[in-house]
Amino acid sequence: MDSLIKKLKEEIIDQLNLEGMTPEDINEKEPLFGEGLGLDSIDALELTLLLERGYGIKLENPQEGKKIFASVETMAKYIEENRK
Amino acid sequence: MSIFINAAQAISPQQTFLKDQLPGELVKYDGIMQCILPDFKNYFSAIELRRMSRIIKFSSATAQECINEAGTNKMDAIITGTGLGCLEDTEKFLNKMLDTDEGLLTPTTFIQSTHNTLGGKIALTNNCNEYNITYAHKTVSFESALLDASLLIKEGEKNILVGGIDEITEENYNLRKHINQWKEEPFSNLDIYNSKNSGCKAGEGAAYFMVSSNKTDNSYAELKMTDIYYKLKNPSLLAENFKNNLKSKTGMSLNDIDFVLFGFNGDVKSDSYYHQIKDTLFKDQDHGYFKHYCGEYDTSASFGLWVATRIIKNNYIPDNILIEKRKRKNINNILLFNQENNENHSFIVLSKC
Repeated sequence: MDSLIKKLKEEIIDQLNLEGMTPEDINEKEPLFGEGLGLDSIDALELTLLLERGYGIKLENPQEGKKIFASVETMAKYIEENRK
Repeated sequence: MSIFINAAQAISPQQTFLKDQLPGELVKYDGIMQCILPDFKNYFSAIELRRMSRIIKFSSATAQECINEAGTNKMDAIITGTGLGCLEDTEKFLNKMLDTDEGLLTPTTFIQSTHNTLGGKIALTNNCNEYNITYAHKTVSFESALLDASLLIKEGEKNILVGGIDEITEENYNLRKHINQWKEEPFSNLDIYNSKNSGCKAGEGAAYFMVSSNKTDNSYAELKMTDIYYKLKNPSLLAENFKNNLKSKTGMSLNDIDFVLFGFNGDVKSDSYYHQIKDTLFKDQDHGYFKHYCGEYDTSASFGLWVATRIIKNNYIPDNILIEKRKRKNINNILLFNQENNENHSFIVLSKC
C-alpha cells in the first residue's frame, strides 16, 4: 500500500503539472479537492483518466468519484480493491 | 479619429522585456531562437502556473506588463493575433490522440491547445468581459488584430489591448526542417542581412500594445495606418497601391516617411522583395531590419512594431538595426514593412506624437 501511495503521488504531480511539488509535500490523508491540494473539476477528469489508463479501472458511476478522490489514501485503497 | 499606442511590451529572444530602449548588444543564436523568459512566479500563483504552457506564460506576462504600463485594465477589447496558437499543447494533444488510439484524452492540453486561450487568459486575469477575439491569419495574424483594433477605436472604443504571439517547439522546428524552411545550423542570427541563400531563422515572441483614442504623456506614437495586401504580381504594383493608400489614409507622401523597418529574414527569395522596394520606392529614407532580434514567426511583425515604438520615442536607431548610414536627422514617421515570399504584405505607419 505504501509503495502504491508513493507511486500515486508521483503520478498526480506529473499528470496535474504540480510544478515544484514532491511526493513528500502531499499528505495522503488530506483532501485533494477544496482544501489540501485545492484541485478542481478539470483535475477530477484528469484523475479519472489516470485510474483508467494506469490501472485499468473505469469509473462507471461518476457519483463514486467524490468518495474515491477524497484523498490519495482513498484513491490507493480503491485501486487496490479494483485494479485489473 | 487618432489612434495612439500608449503602452508596448515584448518578450523575445533578446533582452527586451520591460526595456525602454533597444539593446546595444544582441544575443547570438546559431540555431533556434527562443525567448528569454522572466521568473513567472512573480506573475502567477503555483496553482495558475500548472495549467499554463510556455506560450501562455510568456504571453500573459507580456500582456500584464503592457496593461500595467498603460495604467488601466479597463479594456474595451482584447484582440490577439497568432499564427499557430498554443503549439506545444496542440502537439501534446495530437500525440496523445495517436498514442491512445483516439481514446482517454486528457482535458487540460485540449483546453490549452486552442488559439484563443491566450486572449481568454488575459480576460480572466483582468475580469474583462468585453469583445475578445483572436486572428489566426498566418503571417498577417497580428496585422489583422491591429486593423480590427483601429476600426474599433474609430467606432468610439477607448482602450484596446492588441497582441501578437507565437511559439516555436522542437517538434515543429524539426518538421519544418524537412521543407527546408530554416537555415542550416550553425547560422548566426547576426548574419541574416548578408545571407545569400535560402532558409530563415526560427523564432518566437509575444508583443502587446495598448492602443487608445486618448494621447497620454507616455504615448509612444500615433498609429496612422495598417495596410495588408495578400499577393501582388510585382513590386511596382505593390508600391503604387501603398503610395495611393498612404496619401488617401494619412495625407502623407512617400517623402514624409523617415525610416523604413523591413522584415528581412535571411531567406534570399523573401528578401529580394524587400531589396526591390528598398532600392526603388524608399531610396531616400533610412533603412533598418529587426528579425535578427526575434527570428521568423507568423506574428513577428508585432515585435517589429515594438522595435518601432522604441525608435520613434527615443528618436534613436541603434547600429545593430541600421542597414546603412543615416540620411535623416529626425524620425517623425516610421514605416514597418513585412511580408513572406511575396505573400501577406503588411504596411504599418507610425508617427511621432
